[in-house]
Amino acid sequence: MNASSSILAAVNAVYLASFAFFLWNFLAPRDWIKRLANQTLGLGFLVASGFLVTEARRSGLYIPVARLYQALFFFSWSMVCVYLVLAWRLKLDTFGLVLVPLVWIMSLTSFFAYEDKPVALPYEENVLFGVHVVAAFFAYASFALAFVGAILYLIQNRGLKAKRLGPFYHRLPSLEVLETVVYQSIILGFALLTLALASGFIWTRDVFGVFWHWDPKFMSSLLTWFFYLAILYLHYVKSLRGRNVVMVSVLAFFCVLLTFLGVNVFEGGVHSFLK
Amino acid sequence: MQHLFALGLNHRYAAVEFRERLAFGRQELPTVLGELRQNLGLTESVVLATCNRVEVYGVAEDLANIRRVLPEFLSLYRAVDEASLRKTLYFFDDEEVVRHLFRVATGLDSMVVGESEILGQVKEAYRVASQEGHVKALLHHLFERAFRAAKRARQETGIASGAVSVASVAVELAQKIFGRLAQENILLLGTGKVSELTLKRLVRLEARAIWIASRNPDRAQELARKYDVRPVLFSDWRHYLREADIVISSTASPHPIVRYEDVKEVMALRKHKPLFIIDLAVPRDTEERVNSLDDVYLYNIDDLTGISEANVKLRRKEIAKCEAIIEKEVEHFLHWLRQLDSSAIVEKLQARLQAIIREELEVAAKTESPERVEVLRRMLARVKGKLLHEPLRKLKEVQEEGGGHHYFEALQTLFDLERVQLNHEENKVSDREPGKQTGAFAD
Repeated sequence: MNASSSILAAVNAVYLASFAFFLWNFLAPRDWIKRLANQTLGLGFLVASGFLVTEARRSGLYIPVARLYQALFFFSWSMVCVYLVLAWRLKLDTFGLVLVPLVWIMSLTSFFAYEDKPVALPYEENVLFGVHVVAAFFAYASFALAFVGAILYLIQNRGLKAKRLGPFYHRLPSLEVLETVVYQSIILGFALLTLALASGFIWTRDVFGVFWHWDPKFMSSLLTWFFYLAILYLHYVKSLRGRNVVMVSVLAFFCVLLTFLGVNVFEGGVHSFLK
Repeated sequence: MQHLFALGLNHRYAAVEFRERLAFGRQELPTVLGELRQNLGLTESVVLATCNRVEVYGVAEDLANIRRVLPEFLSLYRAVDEASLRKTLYFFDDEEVVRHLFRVATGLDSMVVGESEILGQVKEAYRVASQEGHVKALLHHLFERAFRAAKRARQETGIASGAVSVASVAVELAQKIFGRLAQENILLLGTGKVSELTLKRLVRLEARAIWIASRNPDRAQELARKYDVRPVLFSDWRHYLREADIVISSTASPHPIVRYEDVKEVMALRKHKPLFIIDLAVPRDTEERVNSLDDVYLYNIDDLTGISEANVKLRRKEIAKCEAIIEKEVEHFLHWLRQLDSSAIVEKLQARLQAIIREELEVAAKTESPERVEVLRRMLARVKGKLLHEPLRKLKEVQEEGGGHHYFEALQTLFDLERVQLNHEENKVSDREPGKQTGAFAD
């Protein structure tokens, strides 16, 4: 185990601790436990950032996302980042209970998939490329947050309809707040995705001379973009609210998953994970 | 020796007629407290009077006497039959008083377990007694500790969680749907009594607009004035349904007036902004089918009562946890109390020795010169100091470890300290500022 993977192990430990605190707060709510849970998550974020720095140095890439484990980790890192920003703005605090285990599983998978091999990019990294990658990942993270919010909304909605009000009922935020989280995250994600696509197109043209490749990722991300555009149109232009639009955003996230994971696994194409 | 006592009656043992006769209004309390001091010689007392209980807490030397005269006093004061009164009264002393008060303040002794009103009422009763000068160190510490125990129990267990009245269940649900309830419109259909209670709670939360549609215009006007709401024509209710986010209905209609088709149409117009319908009418005002529509949340009175009963059940499960917390707090208080006694004993011991020394010096002064008396005084002071130094040090040590009561009891008996009157106002120790006692726990 080298320095880099030890830090990764530490990240996992801290995330696990944060999850433990969120769980404790769920079972026996206290202000100080809640604060501790969020602070531990913040600490995890810092250590995770440290890992990214060492990984970048070790693999010679500015933004280490070339291999699956790196991409997975970067995704989890950006999720925490987006969560911390939104949580601070919207004053969320119990979201962590659902988010942290997700993040932890991702970074744990990352840990087990870790490879200590050097990576060589077939093309040069530049600022535009960096913007493209970071914007894309943060877009995924925002959509993931929207997804979590949407799931919680649907759970809460179900409970209220069926008049079965279990322990979740008391601890979950209101439908109003959850809906806000969903749409604010989608706006953020959409803006970032637009940036990612634009920078991606420009970079491709610079390096390959064409805007477009018949690459699975190009196609599915464009699809994703349209999907979320439709959602934003329904909610902000047509003023539609309620369960059905939220459901659509759940489906849209599967597009994101497809875009993120599905396509990279296939051989060929610009976005495949490098060997 | 000073003893704590509590005497009273509550909803469990006394019928409401009795409670009504004995219930003292807030304005009467100063007089009652004054009478208790004057006629029964109580230096410390607090009277707690609510619609469900009347209790007197106090400090006295002779508890048997209190047991005799206090019920007598109450029966005369309020013209109730003494014998019947005695049958319903309960009496606690010392440790039991502490436990009882802590339980009452926490809401464990209330009709609805964990209710929050009682704590405010106890605080108010204490405040009045304190203002009128009926609270000294003992009751001060007792009640402060009670408030603390109640706060802990209510925060650390689920005893106070979950709404238990229909109105507060409705409000909680509204908050689950709409969040902080700052911008919602409310429509009141019909003007039943329970609707009014629910409305009262919602109004406190500052909704944006509130409309009342009632077939009874006088009643509507009355409520409109009372809660600052707008009366609208009953025939217009469908129009307002579109704008309202929360509907509280309790008309006397024998058939449902809010139909599935109406609401479906309204939801499309509202673009599926959530709609919360609280149907308190029996028979129901809203078709059951309405609940199947997306983003409509329909709750009738049975649903709300079901939730409130479930919450009461959950609260009951928390009672054991509460009692555990209360036990710990009772322990702390008793520990303080014992130390209070022990400080008094040490003081009394010193006072006795000092008295003996003074006596002897007075005798010596008759035959010896002033210089010799001075020498003797200094010598006796040194002897007293040396005699007491080691025993007091050991006592303090043993006390800090949490024991030693038998030593204090032994001192009290051997030196006959009960008869010692400390040379200041009565109950000197009680008058000292709390927290400045020797050996008092750091709090």
